[in-house]
Amino acid sequence: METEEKRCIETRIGKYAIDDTAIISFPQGMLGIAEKTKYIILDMVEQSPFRLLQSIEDKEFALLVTNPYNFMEKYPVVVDKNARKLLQLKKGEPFDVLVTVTIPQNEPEKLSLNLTGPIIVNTREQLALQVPQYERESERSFFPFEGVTILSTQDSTVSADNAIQDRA
Amino acid sequence: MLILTRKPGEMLYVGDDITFTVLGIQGRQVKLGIEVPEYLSVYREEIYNKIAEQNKKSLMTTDVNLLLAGELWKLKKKDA
Repeated sequence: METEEKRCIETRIGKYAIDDTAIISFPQGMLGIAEKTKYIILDMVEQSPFRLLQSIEDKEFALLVTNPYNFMEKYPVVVDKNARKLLQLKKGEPFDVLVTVTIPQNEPEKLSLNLTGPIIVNTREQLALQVPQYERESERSFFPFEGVTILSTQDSTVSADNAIQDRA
Repeated sequence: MLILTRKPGEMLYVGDDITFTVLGIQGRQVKLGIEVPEYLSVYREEIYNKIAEQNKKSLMTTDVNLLLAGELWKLKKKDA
């Protein structure tokens, strides 16, 4: 009989028991952070599109990421032949897209989706690669919360629930 | 830094399986042909730096901002 092996890891948001099948390999790491190659994706808040790409080797090492198609209908991503090969993608095989998210200190409404370096994931093999985009429209960042008003975020002890008020 | 002078059409080897070929020079632009093993990636410097910087910033998100990001999403959905 097969038994499911779970391993316990420390993450930025607490302890998690994970299946080995949940581990995503980045054989090349990410740009500028090549040393970390094994990650899992964690949900931080229920129903939030923002997720944590957490290194399984280093508890403090986690990037904020999201699926860009939660925010944008159109975001064409070019994955060239070499990248497809590294990702072991078959011809025409679909892939998942994640982008990193940046939140400036005390200005969460200026949260941006970084469209230049999407992370392409082959979910069948759990293989991922950051694939730079050279199209002009992808060199921009996308700001999904422009125009949303947020109050008193200077106070770092404030809870998220009452830090935000609807514009209306 | 190793500095070498090459003419258009001339090549450089880095080890056995990496080559740079000067394909041509037009005004202030140099056209390079680069061959590397497929496990290596070649990036334009400005794109590399930009993505590396964004990766680092994404790592430094504070806990408060992580929470807020989730809340903003709820607000936006309510608006829509």
